Amino acid sequence: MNPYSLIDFPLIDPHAHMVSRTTEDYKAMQEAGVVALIEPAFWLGQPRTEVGSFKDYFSTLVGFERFRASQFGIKHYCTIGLNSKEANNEILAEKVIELLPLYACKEGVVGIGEIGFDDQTPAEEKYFRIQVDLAIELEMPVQVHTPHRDKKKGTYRSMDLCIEQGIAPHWVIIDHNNEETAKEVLDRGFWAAFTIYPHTKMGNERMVEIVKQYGPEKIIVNSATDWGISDPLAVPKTAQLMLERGIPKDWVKKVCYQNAIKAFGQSGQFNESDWNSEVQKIDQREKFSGNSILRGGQVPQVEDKKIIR
Amino acid sequence: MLSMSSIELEKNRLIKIDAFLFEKLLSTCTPKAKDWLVKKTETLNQDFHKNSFFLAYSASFRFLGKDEVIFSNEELETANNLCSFWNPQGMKQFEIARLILFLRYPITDKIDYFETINKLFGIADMGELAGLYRSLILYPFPEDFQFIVADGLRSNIKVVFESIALNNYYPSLYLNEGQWNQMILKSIFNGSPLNKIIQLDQRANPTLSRQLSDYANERWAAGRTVNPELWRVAAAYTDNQLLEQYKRLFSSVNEFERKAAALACATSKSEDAIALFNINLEYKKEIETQKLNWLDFSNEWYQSLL
Repeated sequence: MNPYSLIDFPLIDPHAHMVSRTTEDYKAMQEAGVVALIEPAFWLGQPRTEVGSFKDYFSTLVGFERFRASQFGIKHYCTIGLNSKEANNEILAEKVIELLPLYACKEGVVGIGEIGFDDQTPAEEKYFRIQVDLAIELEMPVQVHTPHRDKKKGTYRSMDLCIEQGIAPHWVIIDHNNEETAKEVLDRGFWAAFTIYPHTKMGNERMVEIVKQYGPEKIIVNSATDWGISDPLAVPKTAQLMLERGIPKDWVKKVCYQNAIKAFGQSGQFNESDWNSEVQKIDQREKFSGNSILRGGQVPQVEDKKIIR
Repeated sequence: MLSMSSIELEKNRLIKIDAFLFEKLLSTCTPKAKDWLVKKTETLNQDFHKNSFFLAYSASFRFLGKDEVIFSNEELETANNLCSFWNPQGMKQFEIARLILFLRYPITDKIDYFETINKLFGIADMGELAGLYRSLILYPFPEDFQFIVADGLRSNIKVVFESIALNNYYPSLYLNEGQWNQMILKSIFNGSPLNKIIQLDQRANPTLSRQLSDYANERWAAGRTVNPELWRVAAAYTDNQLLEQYKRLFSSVNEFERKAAALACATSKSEDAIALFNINLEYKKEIETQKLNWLDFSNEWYQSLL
């Protein structure tokens, strides 16, 4: 039974920084209907000072975190990139850029991201452009973080930059939109993603109004849940609220599931069949004697319901 | 640094394996996949760059299919002749492509070779790691992979751990006793099936028996059960503590525990254990007539977990 009573369809959270979350969060997301999520590479709060820290972080995204999610029946994907904040450390940035192609082609990497502007410095712009070029070369979508400060200008600049580099808008997901940026992003043919944060960015109720106003065609809802105040259940909660407020179910399915598949599926690495077949389990060698305690990672191994008994 | 002759020798062996895999893979994949693989391997052959190699290795997933390649019995025999204990059954198309790229890595000297290996493992995703480990016994200088293998066995990612521990000859051939015992203990912790471990009985040892016996006592003290396959391994070196445990198992309400006790006693070399076997009649006849053995026991037990 989904705790969000109106949700009887699968959900995707296409922006969730799960390395910062607990297994309880995974469990809650799964119970609320999240079948797949995308973890964009970003900064960890503490700036990294060595390229090896990036390497191990990227390896975590395609390795241990993918496994951890699978234990809770959630299919984990990621986007790989150098985030805007750390792009300002140019000596390090050069080395990270060299590392990116080695990870971008891996299984389950669905785009280049999250990249974009923070302070909107020349260094940020330089590495933003380089990474859009990489996306074009590898035929991958781009997940663009838009800045908290001077947001409107930063968002417009991001779109201009993408067009200048020669990537078509339908390959680009502009993230963290609000009422002030939505129209321009949609008018220009980009995907408009909205991050539902408890205090900043976008709230559930405002999100409902935006979907009412613009319709569901190129809008994507995400949680961007991370190490800060954020909510891993933002997508299910928003879906529930939209349904309560009378938004048609097929609209809700689009903004909380299908549009993410359309946008990130362009990578060829994000297909519904991945998580649907995951339920049946495909790889014979991951099973034993036709059986598995973890059922190939499908069922979380909860030995004791309570830790102390 | 190695003499050229030993590298040459390895190369000759690898060329044959490569040819076998290449032919088989090309006969199963789409023309587009074939084109990609042929072009990639040719480019790497003519103008080798490490980064292009790493990229091609990862990108194989995008260009080759995910279908399993089915080898005939005849082909499996060929495979086994090319490398003892090697069984390619169950590999997917993209995994074979990766293996081909890997086997073609131009080895000039061992230091450079292992630098690349370390990097390849270092940046590998979950599936790549498992794939690399599954084919360990094919690689040149297998004894030098022990460090990398020990690292893989420390992994908590089940698919990675099992790619080494299960259906793989490498551990039985190259792990020392300490490493082997840790692998068995960890298999039990992870819920990995012991009956898929190659040479499980042959590598039994007194230390392992003691470790398993202690582990069972810890679990029992906590009011938990243990994987009854454990007794198969422990039985080889039965001591007094194990004898007490068998007695407890014989009086268990769980059928699998009673069967495991009977099998453990029957397969143990301990006279006391055999004496126990002779006075516990429930499964005695079935075991003596081979109707009950460890293999069927394991299968039945895993079925019961479904």
